[in-house]
This record gives sequence, C-alpha cells and structure tokens, in this order.
Amino acid sequence: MDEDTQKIADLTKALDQSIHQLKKAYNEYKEDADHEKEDPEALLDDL
Amino acid sequence: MELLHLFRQFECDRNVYVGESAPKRQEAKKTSEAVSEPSYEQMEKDAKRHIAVAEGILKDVEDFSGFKIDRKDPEKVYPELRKKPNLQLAISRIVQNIVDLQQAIRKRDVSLVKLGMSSNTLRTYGPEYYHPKYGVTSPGDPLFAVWAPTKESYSYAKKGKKKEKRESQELSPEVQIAILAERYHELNPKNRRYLTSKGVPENELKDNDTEGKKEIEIAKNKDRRERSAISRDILALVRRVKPIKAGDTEVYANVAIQRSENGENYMLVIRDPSLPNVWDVAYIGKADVRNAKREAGKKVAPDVAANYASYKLDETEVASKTA
Repeated sequence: MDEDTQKIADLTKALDQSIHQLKKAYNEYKEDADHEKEDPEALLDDL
Repeated sequence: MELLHLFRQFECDRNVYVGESAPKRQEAKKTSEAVSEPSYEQMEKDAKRHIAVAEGILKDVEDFSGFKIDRKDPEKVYPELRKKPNLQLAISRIVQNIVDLQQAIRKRDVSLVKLGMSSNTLRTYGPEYYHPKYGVTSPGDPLFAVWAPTKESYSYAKKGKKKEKRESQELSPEVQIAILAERYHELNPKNRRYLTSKGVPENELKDNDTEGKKEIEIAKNKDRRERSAISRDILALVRRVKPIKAGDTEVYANVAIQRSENGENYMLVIRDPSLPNVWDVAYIGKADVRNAKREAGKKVAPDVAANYASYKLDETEVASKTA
C-alpha cells in the first residue's frame, strides 16, 4: 500500500471515531434540550 | 479431503507453498497480499461513505439546533454551544477530519495527474496501468487490484494531458528563438560584470591575483559554452520550422541564418530582442571552428550588420517576418 493510500485509510479510521463521538455528544445535547423544554426554568440558566 | 483443505489453509496463512517452485511461491505471496489488502477503490469508497455519514449527522445537528456549521473552518466557535463543550469539540474534530480526508483523496488524484504528465510509460499504458512503486500492471495482476485508481482520477489525468498539449503549443518557435536570443546576449562576456569569489570586480583585480583571474576565466568560459549551446539550439529551432538549403539564408525576427555553399557551416546573426540595434555573430560548423572561436560573441554595429548583404536584414523585412 503506498503512502497516500495508507493516509486515506488512517484518516477514515479517525473519522469513524469522530462520528461516534459526535453522535454521543449530539444525543446528550438533544437529551439536555428535551429536559430544558420540560423544565422552562433551566432556560434561564442560559441567559 | 479435509486434511488437504487444512494443509492449503496453512500454506495460505503463512504465504508458503510447500513443494512448489520459487516463482509459484512468489505468485502465491502476491495473490495473498492482494487478498489481504483492500483495493484503493474500496478504500476511497469507504472514506466517501464515512464522509457522507458525518455530513448527515452534521445536518441533523444543524436542523435541531438552528445554527449553520461552517464546513471549511474546523476552528470556528459557535456561541450557541458555549455550554456544550463536548458537542463543540466533536464538531470541530469531525469538520477537521472531513477536510483532511477530502484533501488526501484529492492529493492522491493530483499525484496521479502529475505522474501522467511526466511518464512516457503512463502515456503509453494509461494511468490505470501504472503505479510509481509497482510499475506497469494490468487488470489481471493481483497488484492492480491493490492500487487501481477510480474513474474520476482517470478523467483528471486526461484533462492534465490536454492542458500539457495546449501549453506546449503556446510557445511558437519564433518566441523561443527570441527568448534564446535575449539569453545569448545576456551571456556575452563583454556585457557582463564578473566578480571573484571574494567579491572583487574583474577591472579591479591586481596583477598578482592569479586565483581571482582564474576564477573569472572559468566563469567566462562557462558563459561562452552556454552561448555556443544556445546558438546550436537556435539553429535547431530554425531548421525545425524550415530546413535551410546550402547557400540559402533564412531571416526571422531576431535571427538571420546563412548556410554555406558546401552545406557544412552556418553563420548566425543574432539580434538582442531588448536592444534591437545590437547584433552578435555566431558560427556553427566543422570548418569554421577557429573562426567561431574568434568571431562568436563579437558585437556588431548596425551598419556592419547591414553589410551582410546576403542576410537582407533591413527593418521592413524584419517587420514583415514579425507580423
């Protein structure tokens, strides 16, 4: 495998990990937003 | 039968073929490598699939949160996420990954184009058959499967070839002659100021500075040799446009060339394109080596140049040739 192809393989692997992290962070973000909808006072903390 | 299968599995796992000849073992190794490593096409497909997945999630985040994510700026800070550092970090990281991966794919395609521009082999066989490391391979070769480029990169390579062809057509022989003529005059030792390695100009050299004199003589000889090569290049260009018959003269915008009656020698009158009244004379030919050494580099005044009646170098003719 040449250097360029190897780099693409490595970067794809890194992107795969980043996708998992983003999914996790996004789910947390959604959950927090849902809780804030249920508890309007929590919104005041953001102000 | 079961035993034979296990035996073959053992051979395959260890890249050995017991009892086979060395070429067959080599072939087995190649096949094994090709099987164990995915092809570049598969890898690129996988990379693009990952990018699409990442883009999908980024779009979801945008739709849910209502702000736009900059796909070109991984370091951008989103005020909306000031209380969500994990999401901010994850977005930055994924945008950076996408940018890097897209660049890597493009770079590989571009390196293939460069390969196409420089290699005759590639022109003969096409980019899909040539690799800098593996050389020429064909679709039947296991190595081909390892690195084979995509159709997209092939189309880049084809575009590159077209561009190269157009560029090479842009410089006409006349323009090339003009460039060479200018360089020929630049290198005239009489027009140049030579310095020794200690920075002493030629006219300030002391009589006993033999080292400095030697250095300057070497530099002058180098220029003379280059001028001689340039005059031959000019002649080659002129002859490519139109061969000169023995005894004939050809006139171009910056160069007049006369071929001797016996056809063995050429005399060139080279005009400096940036100083139209400055001419140099160069001789090329077996019989005139002595003359060439004496005459080449000699600056000729316009009236002297005009005396070369056979060159017909009057301004009208030069103008018509230029047009």
